[in-house]
Amino acid sequence: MSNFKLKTMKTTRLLAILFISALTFTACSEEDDHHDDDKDHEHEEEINILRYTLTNEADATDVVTFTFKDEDGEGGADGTTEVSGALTADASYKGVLELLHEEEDGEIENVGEEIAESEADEHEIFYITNVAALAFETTDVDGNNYALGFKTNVTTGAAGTGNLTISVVHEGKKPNDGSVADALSGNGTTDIEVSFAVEVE
Amino acid sequence: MIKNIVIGIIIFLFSWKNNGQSCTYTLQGTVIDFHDETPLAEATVYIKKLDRFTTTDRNGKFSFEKLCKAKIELEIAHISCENTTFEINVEEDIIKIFHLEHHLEELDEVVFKTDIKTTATSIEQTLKEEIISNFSDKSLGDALNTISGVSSLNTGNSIVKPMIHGLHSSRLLIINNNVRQFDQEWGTEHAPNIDINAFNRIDVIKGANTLMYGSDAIGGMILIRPENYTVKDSLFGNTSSSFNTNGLGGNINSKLVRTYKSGYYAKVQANYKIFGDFEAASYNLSNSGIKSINSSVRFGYKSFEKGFDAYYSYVNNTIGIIRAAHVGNVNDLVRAINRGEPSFIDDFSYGIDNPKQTITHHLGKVEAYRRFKGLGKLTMQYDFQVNRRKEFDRRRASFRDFPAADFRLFTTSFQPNLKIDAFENWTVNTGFLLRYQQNDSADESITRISIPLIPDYDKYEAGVYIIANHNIDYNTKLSAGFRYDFSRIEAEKEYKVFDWEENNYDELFPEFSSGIEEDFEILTFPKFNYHNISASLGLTRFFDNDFEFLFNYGLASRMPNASELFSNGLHHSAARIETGRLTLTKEVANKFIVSFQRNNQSFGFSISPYYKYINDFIQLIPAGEALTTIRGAFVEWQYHQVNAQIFGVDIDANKQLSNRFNYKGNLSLLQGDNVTEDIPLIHMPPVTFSNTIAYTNKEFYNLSIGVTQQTELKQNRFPDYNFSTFNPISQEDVLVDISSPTDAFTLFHFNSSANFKIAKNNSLTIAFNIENLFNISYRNYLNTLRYFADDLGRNFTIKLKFNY
Repeated sequence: MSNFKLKTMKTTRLLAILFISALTFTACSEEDDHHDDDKDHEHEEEINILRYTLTNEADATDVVTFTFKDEDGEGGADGTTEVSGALTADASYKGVLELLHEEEDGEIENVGEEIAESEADEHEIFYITNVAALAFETTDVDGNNYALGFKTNVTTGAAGTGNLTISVVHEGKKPNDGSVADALSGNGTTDIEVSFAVEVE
Repeated sequence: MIKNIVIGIIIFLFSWKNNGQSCTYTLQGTVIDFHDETPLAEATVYIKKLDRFTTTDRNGKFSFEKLCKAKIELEIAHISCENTTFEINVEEDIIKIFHLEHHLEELDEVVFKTDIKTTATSIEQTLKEEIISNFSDKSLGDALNTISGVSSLNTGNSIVKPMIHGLHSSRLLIINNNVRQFDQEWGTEHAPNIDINAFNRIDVIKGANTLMYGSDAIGGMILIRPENYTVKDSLFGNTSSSFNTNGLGGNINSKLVRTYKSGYYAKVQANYKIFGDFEAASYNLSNSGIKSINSSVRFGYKSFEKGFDAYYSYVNNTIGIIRAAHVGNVNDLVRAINRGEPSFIDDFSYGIDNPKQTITHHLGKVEAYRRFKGLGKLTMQYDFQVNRRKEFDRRRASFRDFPAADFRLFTTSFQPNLKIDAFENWTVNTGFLLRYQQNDSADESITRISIPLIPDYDKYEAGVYIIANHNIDYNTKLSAGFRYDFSRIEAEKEYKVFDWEENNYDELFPEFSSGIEEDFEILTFPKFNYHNISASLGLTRFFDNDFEFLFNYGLASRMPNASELFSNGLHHSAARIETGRLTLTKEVANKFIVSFQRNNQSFGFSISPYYKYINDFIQLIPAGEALTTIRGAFVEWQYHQVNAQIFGVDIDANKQLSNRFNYKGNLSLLQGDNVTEDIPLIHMPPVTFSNTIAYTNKEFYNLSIGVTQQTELKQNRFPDYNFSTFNPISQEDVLVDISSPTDAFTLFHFNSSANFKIAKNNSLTIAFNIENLFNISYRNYLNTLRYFADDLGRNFTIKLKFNY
């Protein structure tokens, strides 16, 4: 009888030790990179505004902006597009693309600038349109001297309407034949793809 | 106690009377059953040293006279009992009660025996050690796939999620060493993190005998049982390793077991697995490698009356997902589908780049039991699990090292069970469960994503059950069970204000809202309670010539899981946004399964038709339209509830063709219907069948050679959730064909093995296998990466297993 009691004691003690070590273990595995409350205001910098501004080289007051805005980010409300006006026929424009992150309080972060500075070699921006004689020429380059696309020269021809798609390709083929299809023929994926209605008059 | 005192007094009286004499002592004994204290008649009692026999009378009594003063060994034997030896010191006249254990089934728990079922009425199939060791460098799901009625939902070839009768995730109970596995089973790309090498037997329970473990086994249960060791002094183990040409990798696994005659035992096991990029029939699947480190430790003490078992296992997996499967938006997906082969094919490499998953899983448990005379066996179990999962996507360079998702799931439970077996022909199991679960999702300071896919939550569960098994007569057994579960989930979740209002949650659940809005997000505290009732009924009848008939009915209820309620986020592998739904209610299933079978070596079969009707079946389906984001269009997949029915039949057959040749085959037919909308259910397994011819020669090094044919037909019943999207390159709307199933395929596999004895206790098994013998290119309908790449091409494997 006493022998049995002793054994039960041993078993119980062992169980206790196990239980404790289990808890200790669980506590230890609480890795310090995983606390929810340490919001350090380092945001994801998700791009929620794309703004493409075209300025007529002959007339600085002829400015057309194409804006895509999805202020609450992915999910939630759909993004909206806005085109400020029509492009003038037979003209030359300088185009500048901005990729921005805007917070609800209006604070703006220029993510595009950051990409152009440090990640240019793995990005390329394409401008695709079905409007005849509307042409886009990339004027800026990445560190390897390959086309980048934040800055463009745009020429318009005869009047017409159609659409303009701005596509940012990540890790695409570089250099390529200048078409988005070729850039995406390998490993590339689409980071941004936004379409606008465009009018030349 | 009083009895002991009485016996003590009698002994005292006798000893006083016969004081000081030798070879005149009497031993009077009664042999009784441990369980119900009934006397055992006709038991043989044998004194080893003296070679003297006697048998017990109708009252279980026996006696020996004229015993000398000595230590004697008394061996008592009874039909269907294990022979038991008692040591007695004869110094006086003795009256003693001897307890014997006469339940065969109980003995199996002490004596090593493999072919017992979970319960007599259970409709189940078993994977034995031979098959498991064939899959030593693959996953649990791959091994289970060889069972009829079991398929898998795959993401590539390393993430294999088991499915029983077309149902998966939280509709399957996966019981790992008596602990319900909780490793974030919610997503399609989350497979169970279990090292198959830690076990030598896995049961798949398709029927209803699952109540002891949970109420929600709508699909069924996968029971991975710990090994049972013989009580003797022994040290044994094995080391096995494999090498595969496909993936240029393999595994090395070692296991060592020490058992003691006293009942103590200990086991250690460790496994390391590494594969580089796998190959499809005609190209390299870049970034499909896997690295895995697993280990387990177990020790315990076992005797008939009491014992304990402690177990701990660690699993660490790093799994690459082919790079081509990361698409930016729907147009990228269309391009991938139309291209026909992966967009990115690189040279072979062992490196695992993004996208990838890294998962660690800790599981520990302690269990102790004690038997009580005239009652049964009481078992107490405490367990805990910690699962940490990080998912890395292809992202901009500055975010590359930040996981896009990072969850830590902690689960702990306490479950006592009392098995009452004191009554003739009745066994009753009853017990309760207390469980706590906590999910901690890393916030945007770690993931750089504003709302995590799964929110933080606490979950509390309490359950109680009773299951009775009754032997109506020698050939007929009946079982019935009832279970009640309460669960409560409390989450802390941010919603986009737009989504919160669009889904009417602001009107339906105003009590959840904190009212705090920041950066277009609203903080909410959803809380839900669920009451689940489940029940089971089982009947088995044995007939002559090994025929057997089984019937199972089960009522199962399942609460929506965290992902179905709350999930919210982007899956780049299919350009989809998954959205949970707060209005989901519990799923209730009625399932019927019948099995007519013959367990016989020379000709055996089993035919198991089944029918399940599931009320409020929760399914994840494409919402039919694309969502517009700055990245372009995405498909939104939403959780919907419909009434569903799933029915089919699983057929298995084996036939001994000659004394060296064997045939084995199986066929699984299944149909799943969305009854509410009168369309097929999404992602239901197509018709599959397989045939194996094997040659074995026990006299010649246990040589075995086999060829298997495996066919999967095209799934012609599928719901059409295709839609169109504008493609800027072609300047027109294109069809996004996410619904069409893949073509039928047939694969052939070859396997061979031989066993060489090296020394008395050492042997070496060598196996050589070829999978996909003819290097067929194929894709599997139930593989989420089927849009991007083919499944695996030919693979040669060499395996060595050294037993010691």
